[in-house]
Amino acid sequence: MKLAVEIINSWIIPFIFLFIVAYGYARRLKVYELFVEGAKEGFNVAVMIIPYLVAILAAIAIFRASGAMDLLAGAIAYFLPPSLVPSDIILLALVKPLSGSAARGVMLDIFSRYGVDSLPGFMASVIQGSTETTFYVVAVYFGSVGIKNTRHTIAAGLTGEFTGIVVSIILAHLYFAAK
Amino acid sequence: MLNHVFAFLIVVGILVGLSSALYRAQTGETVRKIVDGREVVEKRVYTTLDEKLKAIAAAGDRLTQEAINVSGFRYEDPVTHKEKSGAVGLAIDYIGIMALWLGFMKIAEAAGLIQLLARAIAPVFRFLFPRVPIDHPAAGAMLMNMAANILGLDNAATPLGIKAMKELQELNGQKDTASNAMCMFLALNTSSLMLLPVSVIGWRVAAGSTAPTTIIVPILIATGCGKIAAILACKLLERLSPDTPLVYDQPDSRGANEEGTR
Repeated sequence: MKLAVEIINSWIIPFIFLFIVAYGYARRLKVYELFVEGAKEGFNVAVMIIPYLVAILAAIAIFRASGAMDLLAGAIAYFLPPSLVPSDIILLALVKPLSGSAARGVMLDIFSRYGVDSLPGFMASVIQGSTETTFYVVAVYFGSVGIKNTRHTIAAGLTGEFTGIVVSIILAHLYFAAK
Repeated sequence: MLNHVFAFLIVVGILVGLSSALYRAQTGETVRKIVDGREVVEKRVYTTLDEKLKAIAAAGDRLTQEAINVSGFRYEDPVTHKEKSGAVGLAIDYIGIMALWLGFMKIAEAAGLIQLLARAIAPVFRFLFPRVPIDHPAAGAMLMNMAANILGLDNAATPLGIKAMKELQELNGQKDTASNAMCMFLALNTSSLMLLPVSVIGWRVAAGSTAPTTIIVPILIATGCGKIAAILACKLLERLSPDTPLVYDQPDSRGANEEGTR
């Protein structure tokens, strides 16, 4: 079962490439010329997102490196009993919308300190799998087309994020209560 | 909104960094380091004034270095000693991946494949993006991005998502402001949509879990709830500010050979 999933996973992308090119070629399209024409946009898009990436990554790096993130997590942990939400889970929930690689670091840290099959380990896995790096996605996607006024995007995105985290915590408690 | 977030992160970050540097110069600090693959905690105490001042200066340098690191090309993580990409490094890596996917997308678009896919889930689309014509390339690109997200194809999802944003921008009559469709697309994108959380399972296996896949169903439930909340929040909040005007120039008749907007 696991191997089958792995095989499907590894062959999805080659299969998409095959299907697109074969279908286009069968319809007598100039597949090579079309490809090059589309690929040309890649450079502009990638270069255009640099200033937006620098802004968001630098701000996040300063906030994390200064210890402000840990302080904020500690402040929130003060109001929540650790039996309900372990303090490291609060840090993970705060880090995840900002940085994917940092969140992975926090998750692995939780694995090594509490154990991967513990309640915090389970919680961290579910949160990691059900949330996204909101600010990074917003900065890159809007940056690529030069939009400055993002209106309600972040509020809506964070609402989804917050809901996902709360549901993850509840599910983890249910799972360990039933076990 | 991004203005507030940006200002908050920088101002609070630096002020906290300064006060904690002053505090730790008095009380001493613990430094986490990785030596030969093992984590070592080192306790440092500063006694003389000279040492204290040096510790405060070092904290400022670390903060500066961190900001420079993440903005640049590649850097070595000060704790783990692993090589990481900064903003420019990430963008350079993107150039090739982006070109690869945008190239295949162009063929799929010209062949009518994407429009075919978009029509298959038209009712859902009409609810989420009422002002995006189903035959417009934006609909197809958004669909491809969501498919990539569902399948967990991380390095395909971003190029396809950016492609979708460019198409949505063509429909957008106010170029510096997000349209309702863009906000909805981003809100959907910012809550994960993965069917099989392959990377999390992988990390659990690596950490020696006895039941690495037990998290699949909880993740699906949490993801689903997050999505529904994001969609509802988006539909409610979009009433607070007016939608941007549409550009009404032949959204359906865009041929395969048309150049990009930029």
